[in-house]
Amino acid sequence: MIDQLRQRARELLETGQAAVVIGYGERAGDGRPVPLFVTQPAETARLVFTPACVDNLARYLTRKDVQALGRPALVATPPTIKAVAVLVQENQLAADGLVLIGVCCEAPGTAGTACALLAGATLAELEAEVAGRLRGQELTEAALARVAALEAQSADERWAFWEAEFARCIRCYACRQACPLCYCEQCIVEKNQPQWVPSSPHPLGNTLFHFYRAFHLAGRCVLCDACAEACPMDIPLGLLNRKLAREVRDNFAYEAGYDHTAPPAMASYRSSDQEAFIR
Amino acid sequence: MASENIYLPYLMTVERVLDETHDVRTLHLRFQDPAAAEAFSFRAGQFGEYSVFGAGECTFCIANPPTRNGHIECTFRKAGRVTKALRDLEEGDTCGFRGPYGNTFPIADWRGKNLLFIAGGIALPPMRCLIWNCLDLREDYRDVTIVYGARTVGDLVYKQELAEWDARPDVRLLQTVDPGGETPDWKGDIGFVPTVLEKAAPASENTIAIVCGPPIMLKFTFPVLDKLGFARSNVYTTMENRMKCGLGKCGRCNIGEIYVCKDGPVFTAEQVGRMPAEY
Amino acid sequence: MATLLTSANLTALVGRALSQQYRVVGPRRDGELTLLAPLAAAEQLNLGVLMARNSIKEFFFPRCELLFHYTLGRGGVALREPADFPRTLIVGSRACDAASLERLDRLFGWDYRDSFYFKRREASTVVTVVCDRCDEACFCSSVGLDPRSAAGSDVLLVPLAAGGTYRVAAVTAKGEALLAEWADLFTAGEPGPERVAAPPVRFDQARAREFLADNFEHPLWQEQFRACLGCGTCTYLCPVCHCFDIVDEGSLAGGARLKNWDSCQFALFTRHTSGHNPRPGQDARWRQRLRHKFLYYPDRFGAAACVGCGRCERACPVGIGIREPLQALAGGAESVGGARRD
Repeated sequence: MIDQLRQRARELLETGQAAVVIGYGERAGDGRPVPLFVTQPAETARLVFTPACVDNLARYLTRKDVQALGRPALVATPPTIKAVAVLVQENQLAADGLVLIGVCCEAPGTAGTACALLAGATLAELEAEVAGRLRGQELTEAALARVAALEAQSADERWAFWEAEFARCIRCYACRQACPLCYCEQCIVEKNQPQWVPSSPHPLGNTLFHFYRAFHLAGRCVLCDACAEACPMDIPLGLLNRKLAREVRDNFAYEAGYDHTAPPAMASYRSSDQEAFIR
Repeated sequence: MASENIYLPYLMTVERVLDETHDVRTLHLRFQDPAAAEAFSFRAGQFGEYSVFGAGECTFCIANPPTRNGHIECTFRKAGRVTKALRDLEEGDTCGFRGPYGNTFPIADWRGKNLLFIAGGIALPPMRCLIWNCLDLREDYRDVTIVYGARTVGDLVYKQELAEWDARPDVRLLQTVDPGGETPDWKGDIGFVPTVLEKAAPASENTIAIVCGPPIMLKFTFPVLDKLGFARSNVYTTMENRMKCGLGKCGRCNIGEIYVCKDGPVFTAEQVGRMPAEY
Repeated sequence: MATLLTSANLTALVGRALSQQYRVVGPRRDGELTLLAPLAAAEQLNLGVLMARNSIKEFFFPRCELLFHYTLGRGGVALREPADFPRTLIVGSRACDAASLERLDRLFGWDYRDSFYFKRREASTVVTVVCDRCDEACFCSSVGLDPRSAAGSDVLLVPLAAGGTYRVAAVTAKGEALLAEWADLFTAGEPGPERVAAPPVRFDQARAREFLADNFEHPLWQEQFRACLGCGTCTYLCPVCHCFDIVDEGSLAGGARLKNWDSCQFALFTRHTSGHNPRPGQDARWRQRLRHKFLYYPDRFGAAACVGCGRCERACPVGIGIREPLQALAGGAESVGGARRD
């Protein structure tokens, strides 16, 4: 599989279909997967793909310095493909503005499991493959068990839980920087007229930041967990995103990342949308 | 100050508010503590951190000369959160001041020399402190020439003082506005500062040049001074950079190994020439 | 003959300090992580990991520090300074952590003395446990340190190979006072062999510095660090990084001026209000990080602003850290270029 991947990457660079291949390489010393930007055909030999390759590389598509390299080819896992779909929906990318090399593995994060290239070439084809694998799997009862457990607690208990979690937050913004959908040139925390969110790493500021971010991702988050993986303090950010994703699914019959042609849930309405909350 | 808290500001009362232009204002500040006023001293070139409690701090030079001590003047343009809050201050309001910080113009070394002051737009304030300092010690210096320009007549700051300097027989003042910035009764020059400077061709022999202005003006002025025969070690400027603490700890203002708040803000053109391109 | 302390008595010492109203800080389990944090009970002390995710820096240079309160009113503004700092015992620092204190002393004492930092220094006693293990991310030995370095520590505890006991060395007068205060917990004995692990030297710091001094412009700044996300993980977990912001927070009635951690890796760190940014890309910001730590800081203060603890590498979301870049730089310009060619 890796030979095919490298060969595909090489072809794309040699034929000029892509100016850069964004994929995974291996860190010197311990082989940890790291994001890799390949612009020379000979360098495609450095590309790897293993179950440990979980960074969401779509993150780099909205970076100006990466865009300056030219048309990208992206080694894209299913969550990455979903993120691309949302970026296209939000007019950050054109669907044909990049080449996608779809990849997947049976159990991401579990060493030794099989990896393969996805068959699809266009975004639409890859979306279909991704839907086949993931749709209906992500917001199951099992996947939401921890969310449900929290919801069963009292408001005070839930507040105490999150207060303890956010007390560890150091406002490094690794979560935001790792997220493919946090691409604002100036994040709300960086605005100071007025200062909507305190920049200070105290419990109030931290809580507000994470709540704002979760709400700004509602209906957009593709549940890739890049944020939770990036967090150096092990804050379970995925719980916030999953809860809101479930709300959007249950109330608007919408899940982000499966159809780049669909109107985004939070930027559109249907006449069938419920209005029970308007009293 | 009695406290060892280096971040604790002096409390200042706004004594006078003067509008220099439509968007540039000068505040005259008086120390609330008479002992602080008595003890306060500074030298030309130094700056302070001015604050509005609740909005934050920002960095400006001290615009009055050390020869007229006991109070502080600060001239600024409304640009962001703190300058907006400074602009909203009225006579009688309280604000904060920390300083003086930074190095100083070595005016004692300039005794017996001609002085050539060149400034553009909002950069006249740091120069004004120095000009008055030298004029208050007039016999120490030989010829004094001031070249000052702004985009339009309306943008000239310290109009009152420009008139005073113009009227003095021991000062040669050249005022200019950018082409298109003149009014029908404008009696000064029309042209960019570097152009006017080149035309005036002041002698470089035994002369110190002090230049202050936006980066674009400096970029074109230094070569003119080169052409006129000024050694770069006889050309002085003050640098600006994003600052916070003003006293060498917060790590924000460095240009290479140089801390603008500690090694500067006064530098010779020769020192600036050796700085890496990160300012 | 040496002074010895059993693990059980170390726990007892912590218990006594707590009962005497010391704030005791040590590595403590927090879910899957081990973090340096105030202990509520002696049993919480967890010395079974290489090092905590965070460093002791935050107990001397807090994440969010109150500089003063201000109250606003008709009569003007009144300022109120914070109260004194708690007497603190840090148990379970590593030599790298402690060495960072000596390095930070130089900056926080440079001309203007930061009283917040130094009051915390004065109020704290640092008991360092010498490392009996290390991992691939550790590189203290490449920056002039080793697990037994005493810089910044008041007491060193060296684990003995026999297990369950430490050889005790008082480094400062404060350390001696600690031993004297609870003398009954210590015994005299033959120490026997010690169990100390040090990482191999991974690069030549002098060569790295040379590269940095000569290569302000170099393609590696763009190429090697393109993957960097521009978050603050490395700078915030680093025991020596010390950049900060000063902000006011409050209402119309009053508020506080705070000193908060900030990072040169953030895009807006150097941005002027005008929009001009002297370091507009991650390449320039990485260049600053490496040159500040390995060129400017040593030139001005005599030691690198890095103690080789490896925290940045272990936590970096994209695996950059600082060790691998330094190895590439020290290897010379030819060996530079991102993930290794095999």
